[in-house]
Amino acid sequence: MTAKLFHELSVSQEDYLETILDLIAEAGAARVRDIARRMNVAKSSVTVALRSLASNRLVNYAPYELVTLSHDGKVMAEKIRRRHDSLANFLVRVLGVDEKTAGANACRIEHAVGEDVVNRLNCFAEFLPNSDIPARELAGAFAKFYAEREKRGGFRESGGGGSPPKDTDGTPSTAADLKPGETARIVRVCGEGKSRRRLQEMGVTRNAPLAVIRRSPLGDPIEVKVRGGSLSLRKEEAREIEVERVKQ
Amino acid sequence: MSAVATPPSKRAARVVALAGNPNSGKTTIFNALTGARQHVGNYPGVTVEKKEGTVKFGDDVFTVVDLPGTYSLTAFSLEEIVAGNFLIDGKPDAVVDIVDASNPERNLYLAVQLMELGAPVVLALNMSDMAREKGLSIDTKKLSALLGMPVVATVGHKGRGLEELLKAVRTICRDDPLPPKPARRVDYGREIEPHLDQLAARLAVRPACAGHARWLALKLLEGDGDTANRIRSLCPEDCGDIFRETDKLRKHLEGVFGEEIGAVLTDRRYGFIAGACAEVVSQTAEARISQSERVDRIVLNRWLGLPIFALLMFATFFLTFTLGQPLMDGIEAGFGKLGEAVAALWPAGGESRLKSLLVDGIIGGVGGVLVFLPNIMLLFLAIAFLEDSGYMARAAFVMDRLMHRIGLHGKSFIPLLIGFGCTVPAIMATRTLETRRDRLATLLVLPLMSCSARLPIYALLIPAFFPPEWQGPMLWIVYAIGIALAVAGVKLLRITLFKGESAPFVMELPPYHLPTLRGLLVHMWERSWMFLRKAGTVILGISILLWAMSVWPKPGPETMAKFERDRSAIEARKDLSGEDRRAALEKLEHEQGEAELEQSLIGRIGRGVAPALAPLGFDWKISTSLLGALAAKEIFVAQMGIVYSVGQADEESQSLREKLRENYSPLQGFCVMLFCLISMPCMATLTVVWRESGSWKWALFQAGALTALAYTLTLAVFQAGSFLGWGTR
Ligand SMILES: Nc1nc2c(ncn2[C@@H]2O[C@H](COP(=O)(O)OP(=O)(O)O)[C@@H](O)[C@H]2O)c(=O)[nH]1
Repeated sequence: MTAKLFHELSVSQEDYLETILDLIAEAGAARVRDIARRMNVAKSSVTVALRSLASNRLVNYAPYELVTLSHDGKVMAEKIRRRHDSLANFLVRVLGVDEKTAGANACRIEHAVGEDVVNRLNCFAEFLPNSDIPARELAGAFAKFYAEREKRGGFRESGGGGSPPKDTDGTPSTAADLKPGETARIVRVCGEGKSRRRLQEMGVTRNAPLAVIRRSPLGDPIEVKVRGGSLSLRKEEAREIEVERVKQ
Repeated sequence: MSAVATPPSKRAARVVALAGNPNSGKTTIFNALTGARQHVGNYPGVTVEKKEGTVKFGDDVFTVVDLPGTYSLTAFSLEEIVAGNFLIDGKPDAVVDIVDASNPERNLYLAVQLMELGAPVVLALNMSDMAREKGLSIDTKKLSALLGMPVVATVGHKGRGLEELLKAVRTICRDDPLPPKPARRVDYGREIEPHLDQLAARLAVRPACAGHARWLALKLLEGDGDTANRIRSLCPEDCGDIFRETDKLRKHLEGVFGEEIGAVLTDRRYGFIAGACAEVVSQTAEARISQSERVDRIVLNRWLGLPIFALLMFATFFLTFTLGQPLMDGIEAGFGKLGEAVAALWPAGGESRLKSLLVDGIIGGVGGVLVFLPNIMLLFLAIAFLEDSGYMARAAFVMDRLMHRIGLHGKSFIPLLIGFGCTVPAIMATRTLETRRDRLATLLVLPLMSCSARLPIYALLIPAFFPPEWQGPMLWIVYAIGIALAVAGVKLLRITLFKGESAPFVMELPPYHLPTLRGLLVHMWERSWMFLRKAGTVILGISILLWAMSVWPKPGPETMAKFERDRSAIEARKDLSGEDRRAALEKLEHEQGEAELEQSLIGRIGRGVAPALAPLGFDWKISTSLLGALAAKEIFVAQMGIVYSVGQADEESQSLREKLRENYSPLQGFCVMLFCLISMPCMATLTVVWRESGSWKWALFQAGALTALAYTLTLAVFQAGSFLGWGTR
């Protein structure tokens, strides 16, 4: 459940969670005013965001009261925090960026890259200072180091603390992964502006069911059924549609 | 809202715009409404087709404008921009939105946008027969109340419901000042609505925006640059602050939703539609596998899909060219007879410029234009069948992988295939491609598909220069070179002129329909007429010009006098038998023909450019014939016959082959074929490219680029071949 939510959390909501966690750690409480000041946004935006976080049961929020994190919210905020820290860690220790720049840049990177990449970067930062391997053998050595880490299971949460096992059913799959005859619910549509909007206007929008009917005799494109109409999609476009399998 | 309906009283005829998704039956309804009273033109400045017609209903006369078929009014494609602009600027008195009732959810998206635009909409639930078959029943009254617009069920190809549709249109046209307010409008939620209202209110105070304030506010919020420009150009006041504020608002909302705002709005609209559908659409019968799906199980079957596709393509090609051939022969023969009949009006043996102009210039030219007609008519009959039945989209579905690898769209296959028959109808067939980029890319490389008019050239040259066991492979090599160059050409275009994001392939696979004969005939007639009107006249003009250039100026009087003297001398000789005399006279005539062509403008230009073509192994005779081939590729053969004094030769002429063997090497022969394959297409092609691309520039670019390519390649082949010692006879 957490993994899924984590995935759906939009970039800016992650920022809110992180800021709230910081404020609670520093001052013991978070107020709308402080959040707004810290994030440099209007108070009205904060309220809107909090409302949406509250509807996801990540924060406890009522107008004019202090903002606190729910259990789920706390777990998630800490996870985001750790991701942030380990990225900053990598920037400082491996690339030699100064702390302040690292903090700001980590913030931007963390929204752009996936969890796995962050883990590897972080692991790499730990690995590098301890190795005096010649550059050309580095890659192989790191692969071994990483594999060992993975076996121990320790690297995922390099800051400690157990994470829930990865929910295999909840891992995002795309419309291109579906087999003919399978139906799924659309989670979101990624991709570039134009083709994405085109998809959405033809009814490929969040929560709509999508069924893959068949592949073209040459394997690509595929035919899908959305909102009662049949559409033909190239695989590269189908890959932009994140879906969640529906049990039949 | 009132802005749209102004000023109704001043208009002679009310303007009714037809909007709707592609494949919703829009064309069928347009044809059913207007009958033969229609006119096809272009929207100003763009190549999107504009169809207009009139319909009389009682005392009222309506001008019906067929808007391009679109899925929405977002200004992404040219079609959508054109449709959107017409709805706002054209101020139609009524807009009929044609909806495929068998697929209401997606089709209503456009209806909702029209509702938001505040246009006076009448909803036509077309294909209501199909909906019933699918077991869908739609409560029109409730839908009408929900959307705040009259709703009429229709069956386009049977003409059912059109009477009620026109009644509703008439009511809405008279129903000034205001159509009923929609009972509901799309609610964009607490986060967006207040901002939207505020923005709309600020826009509403400006007279230019007053009618569509909410719509414009939505568009601005979506970040639609077109709308911003429109507001800027319409409003005398400064709008900078509004735009700045909208930008800020958009950023803020996108922060909140973590998503593009346009996507959020689309989501909400679909939410609204889903809600409406839940209320008005009910599944009465058991949802069973649709007819279309059953057909698709065979037609798109993993194993049968490709063979069926190949079969249909073969049928299209066969219909267009094999069945077209007798018609073309008939036209040629008819014009030949007509020419003879006209020539007979002059006394025998007498030469007259007027006669020559009439017979060879004008009658020959008109014949040269009309000879394309059978192909065009039959091809568009076939295409109309494929499109109206719904198979065209499936053809693209089947072929897309292959074509996409080349850099084209699945739908490019048919034009390319037709290109092997004749480039002119093939270029017209690129109309089935939706994006301009795909269309232009296909259109530009099309002449490299070796058309049948080039076949006589190969048929003349290959047996002249190559031993029998090489003749078959040689022909294949020429065709293969054309295809390879076309593929390379598309790749090149994709990384140069048409760089960037390729258009999304999202394509609807519409349900199958049995096309109506009337629909097919209308479609065929439209294209043929378009060809005659827009291209035919130009082709005629150019062909007369080319003819004149090959006839004038005449050789000087002393040359002519010499031929006269020789002729008299032969006639005077008593020692010749009748047979021999005729042969001698014929030979003399051929020599005169050669002398005349040499003296003519074409001959002179041919001589002029010969030095430039010498490195390709061409002499002035070949150059002159190549110039003549601009009129039509196969003319090359006839021209070669004239310059070698063998008279009107055809591709079977042994005497011409003799001459060629005497004068050229096989390498030169191959170079001529190569050059004919690649170089400058015939002027009919150029004209059609000009007409279809909407600009002379593309036609000139194509001619220039192909000729340059032909020159370089032939040069390389000839020089390399000569170096290797193949150049000598
Ligand atoms: N069953 C049925 N078929 C229709 C109806 N209206 C149009 N058609 C068919 O649907 C096909 C596509 O129609 P067309 O007018 O070309 O669609 P457009 O793309 O919207 O212009 C044609 O074969 C028509 O004969 C209708 O109301 N019921």
